[in-house]
Parts: sequence; structure tokens; C-alpha cells
Amino acid sequence: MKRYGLRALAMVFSAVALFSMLGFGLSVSELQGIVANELIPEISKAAGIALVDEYAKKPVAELEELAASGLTPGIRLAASLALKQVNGVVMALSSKTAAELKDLALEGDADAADLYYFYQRRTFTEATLRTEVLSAANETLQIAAGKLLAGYWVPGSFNPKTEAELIDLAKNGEGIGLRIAAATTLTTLWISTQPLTIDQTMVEITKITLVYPELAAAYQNYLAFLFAR
Amino acid sequence: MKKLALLLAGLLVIAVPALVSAQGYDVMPEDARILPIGVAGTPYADLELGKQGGTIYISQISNPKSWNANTAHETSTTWYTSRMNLGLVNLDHITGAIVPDLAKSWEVSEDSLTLTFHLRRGIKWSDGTPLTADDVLFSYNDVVLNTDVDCNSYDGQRLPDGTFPVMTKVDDYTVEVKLSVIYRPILNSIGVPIQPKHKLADKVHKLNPDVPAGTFNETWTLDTPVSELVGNGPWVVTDYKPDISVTMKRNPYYFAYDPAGTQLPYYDEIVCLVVASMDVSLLKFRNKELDVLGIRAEDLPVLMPEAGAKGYTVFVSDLPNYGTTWFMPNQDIGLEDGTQNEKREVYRNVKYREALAHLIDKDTMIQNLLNGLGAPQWSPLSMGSPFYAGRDYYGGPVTENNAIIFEYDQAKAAALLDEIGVVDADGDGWRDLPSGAPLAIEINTNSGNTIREGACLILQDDFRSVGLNATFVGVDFNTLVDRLFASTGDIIYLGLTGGDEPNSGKNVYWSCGTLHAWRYSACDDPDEIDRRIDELLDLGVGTFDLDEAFEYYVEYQQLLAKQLGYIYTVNQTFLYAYYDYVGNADAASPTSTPSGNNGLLTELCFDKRI
Repeated sequence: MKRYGLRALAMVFSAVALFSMLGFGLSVSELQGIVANELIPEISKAAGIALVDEYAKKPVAELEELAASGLTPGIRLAASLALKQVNGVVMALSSKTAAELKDLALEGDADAADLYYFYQRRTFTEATLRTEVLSAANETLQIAAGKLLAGYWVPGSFNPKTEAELIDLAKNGEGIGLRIAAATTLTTLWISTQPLTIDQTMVEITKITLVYPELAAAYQNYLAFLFAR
Repeated sequence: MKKLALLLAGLLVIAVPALVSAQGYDVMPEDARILPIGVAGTPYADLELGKQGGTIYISQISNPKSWNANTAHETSTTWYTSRMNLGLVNLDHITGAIVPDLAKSWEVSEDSLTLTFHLRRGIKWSDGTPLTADDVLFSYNDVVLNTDVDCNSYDGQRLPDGTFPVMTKVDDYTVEVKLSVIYRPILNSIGVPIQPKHKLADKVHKLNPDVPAGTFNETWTLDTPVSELVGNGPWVVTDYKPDISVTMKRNPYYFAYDPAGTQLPYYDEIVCLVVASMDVSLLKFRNKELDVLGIRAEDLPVLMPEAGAKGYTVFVSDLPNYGTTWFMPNQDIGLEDGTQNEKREVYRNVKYREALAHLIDKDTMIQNLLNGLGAPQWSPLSMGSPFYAGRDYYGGPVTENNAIIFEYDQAKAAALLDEIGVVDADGDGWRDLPSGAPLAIEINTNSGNTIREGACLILQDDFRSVGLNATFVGVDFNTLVDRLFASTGDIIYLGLTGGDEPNSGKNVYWSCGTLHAWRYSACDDPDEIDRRIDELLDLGVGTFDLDEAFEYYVEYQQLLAKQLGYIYTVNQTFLYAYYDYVGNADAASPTSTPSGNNGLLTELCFDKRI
């Protein structure tokens, strides 16, 4: 634990030292620098998300190569998201039946799982989704159900939750689906209120990166928004 | 098979880019229409001035059926034709009030029997041909009122005495319309699309005997090269790919401008993607292939989490959509074949219908079926109408001071049923007819409409809670409509479209109306309330004094609410999503929805990125 704490502390200092000069929104070259060099996975991925449109300009073969063996998590994520965009993966799946989508989701296809719940959305209420996120057949489906549940909790929606409730659920919620629901909602909440700067967000990530992965992902996606502004 | 047929038909269409004249006006026409965008003190005060440029992407789930504005019968066609062919008057984008369009002004004579319309001088068709009174007379007399033409607007021109307005030319920029009786809604009905005489007169048998009667009905079909299309509105169709897209470009001779002198519309182009379903539209919107989208309550959980990150806004208003949703106990049940006499008597007893009205749990319907995004209804008129009786005066704010409300109250419902003798005579737990014969109720709606099915289940439960033996049975839409028109249904749950003009509902609420479905027999046997409603319909159209008309329509709406022919339930509120780079999209409302014929997109939206 002590060694873990020192390593985390070192990461905090390095992150702050590298990026304390940065304000709102980063240039492509700045983001390229982060995605290539950043050690903390969530910060690397945040930069990757902010670079998707830039990566979408690369040839498909290069994207495939980067998605498979890019040097950092951010590069691999940027490339895979860009590939999805370029290949129209979601629209290609949209003609499949619910049963086909569910079968794909059971094999781990996250896009199919998202689309499955998209088409099923009118059959759910918040209450039945709460059950679904815990009982769906695999984690891929539970995560997708969680993302839909987030739609009931975000500000302005049917049953908005407080930041404190959401942070607790993102850390301690029973089942990955519930934690993802909370994390997705948190990102939306933060985007609408923008309570933290880039630097502050990176500090929060470094505190929890290896401890609360879903909450870290919430900060990651918020950071991606700040990077891209 | 239908898709294949459409695709094959599409392959026959020659996709020639429209020869829309690129020139436009050298200077703003003297009678240009200036929309007060951004002008303080006007309803347009909150809108922003924009710049010309860009393309906006929207979607439709059907192909158009033609490009002919006056023979179109469906919104999949009129969405485009209403943007190509305007009329003398139109509905304001923001307020919904009737405003001058091709006419710059009009006067009504003292006896209210003559209307004189003054056209805008100097305006042209999209091919550069001047637009004059000859085009107006051609469109009204030779197309709309021509019984050879299958014109959707024809019936709407008929005056209460069965005659039609007479339009004559005064000069090249003035037309006169004479009425045999005072008819206030003439200002709505006279706004028919004006079509170019120089392009279409030879297709009308009356003007060109060389062509067979009915030729006009086959004019400007989807087989017509789009280069042939000429319009006077903000847009002209320039490309059509069946099942894929329709493209419209700015009409260089459109006559509307903003206060800064920029010609409208702001966008250079609209591309309308033809998609298979609302779900596909939603996926495309999330994928940034569409810029704006009308949405449903069920779409909110999907859209709201992504809104900030993707840069769009989900707009949730408190204004309900236009239209009504209701259920209808069939007061003519068994009349045709002489059966169910006692049940018919009970259904015709207003206290029975009052009991049913007290059993509508509107709050639960709104929460469970519309995710809380709905409004209760009590009136036949849409809340958006300036004549809506929930206002205290014409066009005033909604206060509901005049509303007739039957609150959800099971005890009250039970008491009313007891009072009229609908009690459980045999102790089986179900109420019976006053004679003791069983009373079984079947509630129908169209299966597949999940919101209506849900509402019927809620009604079923509430009816049963007071001992009414009710069962919901979903049926296909055609069967439902058959039961409605043939008076063979029991209780039917359905809805109707709506607008601002009360008289547009005459076919429903007039005792001889074709949709007076709760009691068609009222045509031959009207009761006192039927007669007064008929009277009020005539009184309401018989004055141009809007305040006076408003008073008539308040009484009209209150009587219908008490009569409980159609018993109103709930309506979804207006929901909309748009990317934040679409300027003025935030001014959308049920009055000016992006997909409506009076859509905001027609002129006022712009690309903020330019």
C-alpha cells in the first residue's frame, strides 16, 4: 500500500508538472503529445477520445494497425473509435434483429449490446432497468443496460441524482452495470456544470485510477470533453 | 416488395439538377417581406441574425408521392411542396397567427363579404418569371375549385351555405374574393398553394382542351424531371433519389429577408434523408448525420447522457403537441341491427359517461406512458390554438380558468353508476345493466401503438376497480377504423390531428360530421346540446371579430367537454433535439416544428459554424 501510494503521488506530480500550463481545450499537437506519452491510462484515453476525428482521417489499414498494437491505451482507443466511425459499425448493426444483437452481445460485442438496449428502450422503465443492470446475462449487456439507465438519472431527466449519490454508486454500486450507470451520469453532469478544470480533473483521476475504475472512466470522459473544447 | 417497387420507380427518374436560376434579385423587391429577426418587442426578438450558407440535414420516414402542391394528400409530399409553393397568407413561424405571405396585405369590406388581397410587387418565380394575380387566379379558380382536379383543399373552400368564394382579378397585383356569407376561416382556407400558370396552365383541361380531363392530377409527379419544378417559396426541390434523399436549394427569387437585408432562407440547402423508421433517424442523429430531430419521450434516456459531449440540445417543452387523444363509448352501439338497446341507453346517459370520465387516471398515464412528459386534455381544441378555451381571451396565456375538468375520483364514478342503476345485481362482482342483464365492455385501440395500448390497460384497471367488467383488446388499425365508421365498436381509444382553427374540426363536432363517430345518429336526431354546438360552429365562422369568435368557441369547447362524446385523456409534450451549431433551432415549438409545414427550418435556422 505504501509503495502504491508513493507511485500514485509520483504520478500526480508528473501529471501536474506536465500539464499545469494548459487551459481550456488543447490543440491537436498537444493531444498527440499526451496520447503518445501519458502514463495514466484514463488520461491517455481521454486524449485519444478527443483525437478520434483526427484519427478518422488516417487510412483504414493504419487505423487497424494502431487499434491492435498502438503503443498506449489512448492511441489504441483513438484508432478503434475512429475505425468504428469510418466503417459505420453502428449503422451496419442497425438492421439486425433483437435476437441477433443479443447473441452478438453475449459474445462480447459492446456496440451490439448498446443497440440491443436502444431498440428495447421503450419496454423498460427506470425500475425494470435497475433490475436488468444486475441480472443481464453478461457484463457486456449489464454495461449497456447501465448506459441506458443513466438516461433516467442525468440532469433534466426523469429521476436526476445528486453528485454525491452518483459518486457513491460509481465506487460501490453492486455490479458493473450500476457503476457504469452512475459513471455515465456523472460525466453528463460534469459536462453540464464543468466544475473542474483540466488540471483538476487529471488530479482526480490519478487519485483513483487503480482503485475505482468506473469512476475514473467518468472523469476520463469528462476530461475528453475538456480536451476537445 | 413495396421498397423494390419504389426503387425500380426511382431508377426511372432522370436525376437532372434543377435549372433554378442562379441570378436572383438585383435589389431587394419593393414589397419584400422582412421578418423581424432579433428585433426587440417582436415575437422574433430572441432569434439571431444569421449568414447564408451551409446544408442542413433532416429526415423523413416516407418518400414523397409527387411534387404537386394542390393534388398532394399526404404530409410526406406537402413537407416539400409547402416549401416550394406558398399562398396568399400563411401561419407565422413563432406565433401561429395568420400573416401575409404572397399577399402583402388584405382588407375586409364592412359587410365582411369581400376580401381584397394586394400581392407583393416585383416578386418572381424561381425561374425568374414575374408572379402576378394571374397565377393566383389560375391556382384558385382553375386548379383548386376545378372539379377535374383531385385537390385536397377543395372541400375546405365550401362556405356554410354550400357555395364557394368567387375570386376575380382587379389588376396584376390585386385579387378580390367575394363570399355569399360571412366566413371568418376564409383567411385559413384561402391560403392554398399558388402554382405557376406559365408552367402548368397547359396541363388543365379547362384551359387546354387538347389534354384530357384529369391531366393535372398526373402533373409534377415523381417522374417529372426536377428541373421542371418552379416555386415561389423559400426552397425548390433540385434532386430526388428514391428511398435515399430529397435535396432542396434556396430559391434565388424568394421574397423574404432579415432586417440586415440578408435574403432568406439562411441555409443554402436542405437535404432530407429518407429513412426506414424513427429509430433509424435517431441513430443517424446520434451519429451526426442529422442536424435536428423531433423525438419521443422514450428517446430521452438514450439522448440525454450524450448531449453535452456530442454538442446537441434535447429540448423538453411544457407545450403539448397539437392533436387530441380520447376514448369514445359508442352511443349508437347496436342501433343498426336493433340490438343492445339497453346498453345503448346507458351509453347515451351522460351520467354514465361522467362516471367514465372520473375514471381516467391522467397522472398515471402521463407518468407511466409518457415518462412524465405530457399534459392532460379536456378540450377538443389543441392547447396551442389561440382559440383554446383554457385561455381567458383570444391568444392570451393559458390559465385554464374556463376548463371543464372531471377529476380522477373512483368514489364519484361509483356513485354516478349507482345513481343510474348500473349496479351489481347478481353479486358476481361486476356491475350490470339496470335490468340486471350483464354489462361487458370491450376497449379497443390499434395494436402496436404501445402508448395507446398502455392507456387502455390503465383504463381497464380503473374501470374494473369500480366493478365495470372491462377488457382491453388490441385490434389492427384498419379494423379499428372500420369499427369507428360503422359504429360497431364498444369503447374505442384513438386520436385526431389538430390545428389552430376550430372550424377545421367541423367534420368531427358538427352533428352531421363524417367523424361524429360517437353518435352518427345525431345527424337525424340531434339533442339540445348537439343543436347548440352546430349553432356555435356557424356563429364562430360568422364574425371576423376574433374576440367575439373566441367567446363562441369557449362555450363550444365547454359544451363538448360536458357532452363527453369523445372523452379526452392526455397528450405528449413537444420534444425536439438539435445540434448546437444550428442557429435559432431553440425557437422551435409545436407551432414551428422542424417537420411541420410551418416549420422553423423554412427560413430562420442557420449554420453557426459559418
